[in-house]
Amino acid sequence: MCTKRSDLDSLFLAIARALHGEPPFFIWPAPLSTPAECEFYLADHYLSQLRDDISLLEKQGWEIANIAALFKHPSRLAQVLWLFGHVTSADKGFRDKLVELACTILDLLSCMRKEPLNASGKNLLWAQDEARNFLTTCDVVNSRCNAWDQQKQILARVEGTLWVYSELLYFSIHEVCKEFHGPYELESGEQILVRHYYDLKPKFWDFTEALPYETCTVVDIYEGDARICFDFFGRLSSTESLVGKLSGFAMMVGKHDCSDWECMKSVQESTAEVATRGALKLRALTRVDVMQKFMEAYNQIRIPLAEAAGREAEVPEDAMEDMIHDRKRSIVEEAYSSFHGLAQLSKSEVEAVLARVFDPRVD
Amino acid sequence: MNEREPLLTGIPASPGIAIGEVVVGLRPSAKREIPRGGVLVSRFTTPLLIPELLRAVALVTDVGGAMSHAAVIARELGIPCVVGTEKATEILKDGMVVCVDGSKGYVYQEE
Repeated sequence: MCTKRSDLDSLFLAIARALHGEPPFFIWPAPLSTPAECEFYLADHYLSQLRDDISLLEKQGWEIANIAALFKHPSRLAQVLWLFGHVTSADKGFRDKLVELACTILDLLSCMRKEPLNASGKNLLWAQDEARNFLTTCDVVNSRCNAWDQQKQILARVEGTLWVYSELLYFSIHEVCKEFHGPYELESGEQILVRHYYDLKPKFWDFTEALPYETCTVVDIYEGDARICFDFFGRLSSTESLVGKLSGFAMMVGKHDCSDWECMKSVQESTAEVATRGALKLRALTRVDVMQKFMEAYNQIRIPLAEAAGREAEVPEDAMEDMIHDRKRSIVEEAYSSFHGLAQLSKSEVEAVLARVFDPRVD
Repeated sequence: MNEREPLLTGIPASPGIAIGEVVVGLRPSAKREIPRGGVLVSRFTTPLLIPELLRAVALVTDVGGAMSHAAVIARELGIPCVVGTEKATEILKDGMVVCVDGSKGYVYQEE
């Protein structure tokens, strides 16, 4: 159980460390569709709803591990904490409830990750043996196969296309539909990185109906010296290209093996086609429409919990109303402007500032 | 190539070398399309540029660092990328043929 003050200190520091590297603008420049500001409209309502969902499930006798399973994957759960940095209410009672919620999230993460904060730079969901055993169930293509260079090339196209497609669906919070985890060590000294994409056909985007699959998993095998690092949010934080270190891979679409060139090409082309159609649709949306979609993306995390608890799982109407009428404009502008001075501070100072921004114990 | 003076330098964000025709400052609202095999030159990239990102053989941006959107996407796609050049959209012109060296962070003009 998360009971100690130091547990929460570590949590908010882990968040700060994940963010301090570069301005968010560089990580996901959103000015063309600018959904990020709607997090300020959503945070209070959404976190309150989520806390109530979890409380109700606990009252109904749900075990913590079963509640965790409703989030499907830990990076999706960690994404909820991003909203802690966008809370606008100063109400003491509400902030106390957020402290409880942060503790619960930490407990839930402990059920899902080997290291809840990814403190060692790894995002480990499986035991090492599990990863090795998983490989035995796949058709692995390795560097000794014919046309390895072409295989690598099509794999990169598939992985890149899936990435941009996931961003199109879920904007900057695309960890809502993907869980990259590892690295797991093989006896050969090589490492496994699992890239699992799921929920690729959310109902709030009608163009996704045309996608012929809903989940896709790529298991990449890299040389032992490939630097594979993760941050708290489960995002790959390696800044070097891993393609050159690839020594094998396997790919599955749904539960079917799809490691041959034809199947991979077909997946890449169909995904690119749907993504292109989606991008054209997104370009035609109004600001309010885009904001609503962004809120729907967050809501995707909550839907399984709300349904299990027997509650409504709609985007909070109040949040939409506030956003449509720009009622938090000054708060948003003040928040953005307060980050301008960070560039002058040292790394530890920036981390301390960011940790306070997310910590509901700080007024 | 090493002896040539680069036209632009920036942060090497995704390794590899690619040669292609420049398309500058593409905006999602633009009607034109990047030709397949083109080099996408932009102030930064966003997911709205999906069709263009998937057609490009290399990316060059004015702003960003090793964890910027363009850098991450290029590494996933396995194409060269140079970010943080500050003035790519100013110096590079539509139709120019350039060589992007994503390992060194250089952009050369081809004859």
